[in-house]
Amino acid sequence: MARYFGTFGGQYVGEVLKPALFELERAMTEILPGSEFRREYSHLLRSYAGRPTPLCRADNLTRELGGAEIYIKLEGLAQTGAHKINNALGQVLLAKLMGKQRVIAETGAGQHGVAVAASAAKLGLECEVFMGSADIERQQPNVFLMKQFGAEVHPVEDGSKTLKDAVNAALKCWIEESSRTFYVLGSALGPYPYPDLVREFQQIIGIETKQQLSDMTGRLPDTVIACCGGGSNAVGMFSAFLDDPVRLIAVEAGGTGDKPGEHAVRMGKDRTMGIIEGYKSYFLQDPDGQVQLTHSISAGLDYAGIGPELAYLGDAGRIEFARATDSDVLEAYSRFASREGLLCALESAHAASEVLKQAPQMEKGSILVMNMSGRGDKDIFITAGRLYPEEWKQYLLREAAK
Amino acid sequence: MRNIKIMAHLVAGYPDEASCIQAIHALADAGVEIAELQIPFSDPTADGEVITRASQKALDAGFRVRDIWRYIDTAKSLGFEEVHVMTYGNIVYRWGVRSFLEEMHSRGITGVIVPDLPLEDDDRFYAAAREIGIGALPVAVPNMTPQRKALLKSTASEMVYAALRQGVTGRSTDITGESREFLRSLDIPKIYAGFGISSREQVLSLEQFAYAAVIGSHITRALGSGRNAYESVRNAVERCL
Repeated sequence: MARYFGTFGGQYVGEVLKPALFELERAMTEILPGSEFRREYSHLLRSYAGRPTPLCRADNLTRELGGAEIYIKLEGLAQTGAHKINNALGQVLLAKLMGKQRVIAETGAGQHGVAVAASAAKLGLECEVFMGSADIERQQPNVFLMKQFGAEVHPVEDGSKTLKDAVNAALKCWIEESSRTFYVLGSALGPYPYPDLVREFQQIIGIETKQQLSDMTGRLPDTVIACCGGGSNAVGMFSAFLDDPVRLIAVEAGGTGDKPGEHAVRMGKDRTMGIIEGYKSYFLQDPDGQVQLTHSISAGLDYAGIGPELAYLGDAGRIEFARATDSDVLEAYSRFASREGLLCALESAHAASEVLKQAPQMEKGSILVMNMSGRGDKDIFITAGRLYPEEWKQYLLREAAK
Repeated sequence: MRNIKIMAHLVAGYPDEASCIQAIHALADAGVEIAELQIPFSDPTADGEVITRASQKALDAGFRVRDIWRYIDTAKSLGFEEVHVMTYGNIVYRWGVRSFLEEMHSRGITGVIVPDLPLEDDDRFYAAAREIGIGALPVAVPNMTPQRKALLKSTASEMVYAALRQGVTGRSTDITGESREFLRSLDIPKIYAGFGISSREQVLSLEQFAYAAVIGSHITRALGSGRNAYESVRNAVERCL
């Protein structure tokens, strides 16, 4: 297996982690293709995770926008509410078959942490999740869920106290003890072989979508849209279409503005390469190479780096990059809810916003597919507070007073 | 008479420029032979809590990468036998791998330590260092296989930084017969051995097995006490001499 996508990727870790990464690479070639893993993984996906997830035709938006026919892949219907479970189950099962007793994970918004905690509960492994203390403040419901699934949640107080610091803390924990511990990385990034491992488990999104669309329409889509933080749902959706004549658009977090700290757009005009958290890719960083703060209304896209394969495909021109601002996102969130009865996660609402821009410009009869990577129940403390500030505040005050 | 040199580590700019400069003076006055200056990085994955927090504090106080020259110039003027610079891959990569090494070499830096640039040397860091004639110290760890040790030996030429245990910096280390066997197995002339060293006993137990004992987090912890920087560092180091 190649360690790079062009010049992106690699395995930039201290020597101390090399044995654990070599062990993981060996497990990928020996355990993943084996019938025991295949059988159990596909059983879990069907009987526990809720796969295949539906592909839904968005009739009302199609009519209203007047261009392409819009189809939405409902990854939010998977167990724990997002595509994250595909990867979490795969990696936790791999850990179990490798004989590991404990899994650790980083989480930003908490979606990956919840998926790993649930998978570990299901498969009977110990689970510890590292989460920035700033994210813990913002995402109490997911902290609660992880604890219910029996995971120990470690607050991370370093740096910006967000996702990147949680990744660092998980890596350090793994450096301390890797013989009985498996690190379940949540996005298609980090040192080789993680980007390949995560794609391996997420590519089912695109494979199912292609089959379902073919069953429904007999053809390929013209355009496929996915949101993009680290990039696991985008890689998962796009990988099935890379060799087809299909336009692929990844949507980054435009945040509140263009200044450093106001967004998480890595693939803008001034892309800067870096070597951070074990891989080489584009990162938001200052001229010295210090990682910059990012902002997005969606915690899941609020990250300074992008997975190496997506960065490579972006440079190669195979994937286009767009962005959606926080206010675009809230508008799309409300519109998909009221027209289609679909509550997008704020991350996925970035893709939804791009659908609203692209569909009207496409020819009638053309097909546009969007990946709704997660559902939006988890965001109610953010969305309700933004959309109905006064009622929501009164409700919270009443609840707190009980 | 101690039969091993001391390499003392400081995070440049921590807790502030003036205190850090005083700390360098304290090391020189205490008789430390080798100074190791760390360029702070926002995401230091090989460091424990003490150095991670110190790096963040230096950056929050406005440390810029090229400020390192002021600390290097101070150290050079105080007559240390060797001055080394430690940092992370991204700092070197943004600077430019070759120009970083050339500029460090021209200022008289003996060696550079960048723990997340691997032995496979995809970015020609170790190769360029050899061409330029500056030391680039790879990090050896106890869990290395014989194959990795062979690769290390060909990469390292004559200097190596040896971590005495698995893990990140800062936590205390028991130096055992196994540790010494690990150092011997490296078969490299100049071994700078560290991780969790904070006492004279630990330093002396490395005699004949290492060229230098590295004292790192112990000094940074002392600097974080809020007391006089010079005195705290001098006391902390003298405990190990």
